[in-house]
Amino acid sequence: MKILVVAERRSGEVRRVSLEIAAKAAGLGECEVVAVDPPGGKEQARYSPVAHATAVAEKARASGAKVVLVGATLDGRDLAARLAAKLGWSYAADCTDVAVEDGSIVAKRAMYAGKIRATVRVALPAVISVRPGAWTLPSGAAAPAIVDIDAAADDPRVAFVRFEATSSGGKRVTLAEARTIVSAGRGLKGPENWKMVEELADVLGAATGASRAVTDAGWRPNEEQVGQTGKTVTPDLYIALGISGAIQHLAGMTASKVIVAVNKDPDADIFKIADYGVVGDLFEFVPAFTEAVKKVKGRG
Amino acid sequence: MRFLVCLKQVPDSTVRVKVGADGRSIATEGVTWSISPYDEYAIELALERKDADPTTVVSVVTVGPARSRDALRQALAMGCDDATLVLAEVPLGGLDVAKALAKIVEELRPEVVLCGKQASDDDQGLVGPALAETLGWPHVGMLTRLVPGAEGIELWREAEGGHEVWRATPPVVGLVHKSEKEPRYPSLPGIMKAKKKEIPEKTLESLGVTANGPTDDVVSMEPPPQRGGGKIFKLDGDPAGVAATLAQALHEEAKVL
Amino acid sequence: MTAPTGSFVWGGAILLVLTLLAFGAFGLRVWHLYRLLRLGRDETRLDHGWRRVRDELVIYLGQRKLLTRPYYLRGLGHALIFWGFLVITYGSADLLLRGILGWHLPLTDSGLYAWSLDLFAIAVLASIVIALYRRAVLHPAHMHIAREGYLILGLIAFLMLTLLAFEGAGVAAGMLEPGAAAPPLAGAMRELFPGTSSSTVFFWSWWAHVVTVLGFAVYLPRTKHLHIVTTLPNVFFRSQRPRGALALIEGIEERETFGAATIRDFSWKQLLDGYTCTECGRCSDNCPALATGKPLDPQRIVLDIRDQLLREGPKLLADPAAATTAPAHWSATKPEELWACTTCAACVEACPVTIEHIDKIVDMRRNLALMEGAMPAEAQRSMTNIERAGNPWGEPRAARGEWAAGLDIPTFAERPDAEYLYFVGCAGSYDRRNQKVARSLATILRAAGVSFAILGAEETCNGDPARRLGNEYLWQIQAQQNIEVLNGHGVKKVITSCPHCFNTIANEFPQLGGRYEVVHALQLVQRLIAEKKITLSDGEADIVAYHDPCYLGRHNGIYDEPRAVLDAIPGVERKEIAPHHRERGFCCGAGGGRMWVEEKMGQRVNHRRVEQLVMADTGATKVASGCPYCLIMLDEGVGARGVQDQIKPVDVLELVAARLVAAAPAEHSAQRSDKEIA
Repeated sequence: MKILVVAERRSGEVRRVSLEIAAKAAGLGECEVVAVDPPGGKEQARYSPVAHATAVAEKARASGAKVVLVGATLDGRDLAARLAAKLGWSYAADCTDVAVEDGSIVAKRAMYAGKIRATVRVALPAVISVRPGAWTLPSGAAAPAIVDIDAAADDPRVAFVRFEATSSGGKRVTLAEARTIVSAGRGLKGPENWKMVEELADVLGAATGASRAVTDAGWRPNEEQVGQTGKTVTPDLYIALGISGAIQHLAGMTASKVIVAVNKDPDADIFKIADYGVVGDLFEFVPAFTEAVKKVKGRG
Repeated sequence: MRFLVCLKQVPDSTVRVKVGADGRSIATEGVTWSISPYDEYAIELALERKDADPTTVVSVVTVGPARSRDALRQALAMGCDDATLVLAEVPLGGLDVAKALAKIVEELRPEVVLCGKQASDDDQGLVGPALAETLGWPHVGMLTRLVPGAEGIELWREAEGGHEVWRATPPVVGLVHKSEKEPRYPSLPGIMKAKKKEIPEKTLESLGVTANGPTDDVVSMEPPPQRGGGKIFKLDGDPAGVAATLAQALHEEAKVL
Repeated sequence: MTAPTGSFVWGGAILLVLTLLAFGAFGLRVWHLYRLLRLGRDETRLDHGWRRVRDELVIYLGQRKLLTRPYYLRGLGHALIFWGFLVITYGSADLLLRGILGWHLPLTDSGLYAWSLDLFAIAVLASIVIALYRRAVLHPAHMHIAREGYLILGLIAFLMLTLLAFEGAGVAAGMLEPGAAAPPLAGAMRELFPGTSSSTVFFWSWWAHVVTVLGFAVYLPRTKHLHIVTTLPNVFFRSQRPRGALALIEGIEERETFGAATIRDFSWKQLLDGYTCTECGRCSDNCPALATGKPLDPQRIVLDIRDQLLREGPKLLADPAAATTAPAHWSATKPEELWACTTCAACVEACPVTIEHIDKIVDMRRNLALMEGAMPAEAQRSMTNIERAGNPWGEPRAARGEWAAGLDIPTFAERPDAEYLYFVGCAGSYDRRNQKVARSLATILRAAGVSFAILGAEETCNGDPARRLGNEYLWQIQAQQNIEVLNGHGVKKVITSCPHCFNTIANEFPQLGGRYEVVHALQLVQRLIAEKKITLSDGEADIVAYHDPCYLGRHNGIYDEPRAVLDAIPGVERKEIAPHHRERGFCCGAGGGRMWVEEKMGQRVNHRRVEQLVMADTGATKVASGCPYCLIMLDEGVGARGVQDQIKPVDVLELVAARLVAAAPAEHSAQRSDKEIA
């Protein structure tokens, strides 16, 4: 069975999720990896739904692929949906696992804002987006050969105008991508204490996230919100600082591999799902932990 | 300008969703239904345009079972002008929903169609882009802001590190991620007016749509695995010690450092 | 005393003309004010006639609400001026009658009256000295001090001095009528007026006194001292609803406008409140929002409405269709004032003239919430949650009964013959801290052998936060839903551990036809202890400060039972958070829907409360209350102040449950046999 993997680049680099999918897809069937090379050049190109979807659709038809796999990043999900519509194929979004069974695809994916895990049968041909981190990238996996395809003409009715960076703009790893996330909640007491979170994130090479209480209070921009109404993340390590663990937050991060929670309330709901919990004052613990991580990383 | 907001009625986010007896759908007994959160944001964005320019018309439409009428009433109560129900008792595939919606778009001729970026039941996020594709319109996703100007509408698209600002010359489909303000609370006169409003009902047949696209075939459903039973440390005046132990454990046991 | 008007022909006639002019001016002003009042909407306030008469006797004549902690001295000063005013007004009427017609009012020649007149004249003078001292030297924080106040005090003093002068001089000049008792104190001053000066002094001081009385009648209704007149009807027409009950909006689905946005939307009684405000500032003194730097000032709420009425009312009278200018009370910052209110009723409690502040604030909130859907985002979210999940936190409806897991508490459906319904409330159902309180109560009831059941997932929020945030519609829906469930099960008696649930079910459900015998858990526990249904064991000595929840104390007058329960726990020494306790208890900051609204301005009310607790230096290691909101707020407050290790917030029920001596015998033996088998 022929599989087409659509890789995504960010600032010229192939995204990790694309590598994860390419590595896994090689075991599912005959796999070709493509990336759309938009007219703007690899460096500053923007994703544009019509231009990208049209190009990939042509490629998919021409290559005889039965399945198109796309990383479920912001752009990837958007592309996959439009692509499925353009091709008239079956579609499953944000899958956490995909297997080929009896000539169709069986995928696992979350539904109902993470409250249900479903197994779905997807008739072929199909477009499937795969959640970043769903598959572990084997260490030492060879980089896939990527075929660049040109973007199609964009729809003239929409055009990119400018980028409005938020204060933390681009400096840090993005939430969706990050393997480690340091997230903070109301327990932080005020935006002036955010520095402490950033220092820990820096030594961990982590992205920073926030609970709804924090983004609602305007301490952090909305895009950093993790939860039911924010971003759903699945990093290897999720560190929750001063987050009590309201259900709406849990919905966005329970799928993380390892969860560390720091909270002064031993009854906080977050401890129910934590792999490691620290009961105590985060203002005492976090600086100490930042130092401890430095030491461990220094040794490693 | 005319907006059309496509919405879906889903189990309210406060509902504890449970797997039904068949093991492949949810138990609907006692479920409170409401407008999917992203669709509520879409309504809010459209109504904010109406606040700024009262000549704006905001229509809403849904494809779904009869109970979806309540969701349309809620949208009317919030301040939308008219609502259309496309009755479909059996869940349709996303591409078929898009076909039905496209018929409504042809009828109402809105300049801007807004959808939530995904409905928080199946969480597919297919219908919006599929509607744009069916109509042959462009679409812009992850919208958080919508600013009309002389040269078209500025669409703010949340991206990593900030916002991409796109300019669209209608028609266009927008997929809404969030509104700056919380979706508005309906006024009581609004609720009462909405109760009296006619909501025209269409069927797939009356729209001339045949449902023949791919459907979502759920094999089984289960609740997410329970976590817990993790190691708990107490600070007890030794933050440095606990920090060192934890860092060690993350490095050696969990292998995530 | 013979009136000096008889000494020349036109005296009586001049006095008659002056009197008619003065009363005419008085009457015109009052008629004008009355017409303005009628711009307000109609409201009937004639229920409970006898209670209204009693209120007049106690509050108006008895000056009961003035003589309260910590206002005893100034209260007494006011009471003396007031009582003096009554006695002297009678005398003034007598003076005018004698002066014009030569008629006498009964008793005015009696010795008793002579004594009262003189004593009150002196007492009033003394009180004026106190009042002047307060204004000029003490500068009370929230009292509105204007030249008008000094003028009035001066006028009253002048009246007293001229009274004493003409009496003294009159006695010296032999003007005392035959058979009339001599004014005892003024009479003693007759030596001051020797010879012929006495009749001159008598003549001029008599006229000065009488003209001042008439001038007073003209001036009075143009000042805040109108309260002398309006307090009489204001007390009579005060609300006879339970204090905790807000007014029902009847036929809510048929109306087109809701709440108050302009002066026409307030009832005539609410406008009368404005005329009656004396600007004394007691409400402001006691307001927790104002004290912590919020823009709300309860006195301003009342006065802004009054000022608006006086400014815009005449235009409306001239042309009923005239649009009023943007109402003064509807300024851009007004919503912030309104949302800051915790409905703690400290203002209502403090007001000497029974002004109803909360009703006005809630009426204006109703306008914002129902007409505009305009409220703080968090308030809106809590309402959406109540609508959809039946609780303000948005926790799953299905999880409502889970606090009771493992306790084997029957639902009403399972035990329809239960005597009591325990209405747990949202906090007891979902908030982890308060779940412990709910479990404590269940244990106590079980131990006492009380037959009770819960509603489980059938219970839903009774709508208290929604109603107080102005969303009357949502309240009616929630209340109606609960009433249907309660009636469906044939519930007669209800226990609540939440004062807000208590208040709503006891005081507000009857408005929608839901009538139950409602008891707060601490009232019931107090009874159980008194009846020896439960026994409490000795334990470690404990010093416990009691915090009065507003909706137990001020709103429902339950001050003593919780204290009695604390006193009944062996080894517990109860402390008061003086002076902020009982009627003057300070709010935790969570009432009136504030529990779900961010507190962005000023100091947080619960932090102030914890400050008071620390300052009271009671040596207490626990602070106990009987309210889930208070518990949550105090918990947060002690944490923020960093005193959580010194003083632990608890619910009184938890203290009781911890000391229960063995459960009911049946259960006891069952446990033992289990062990034996094991």
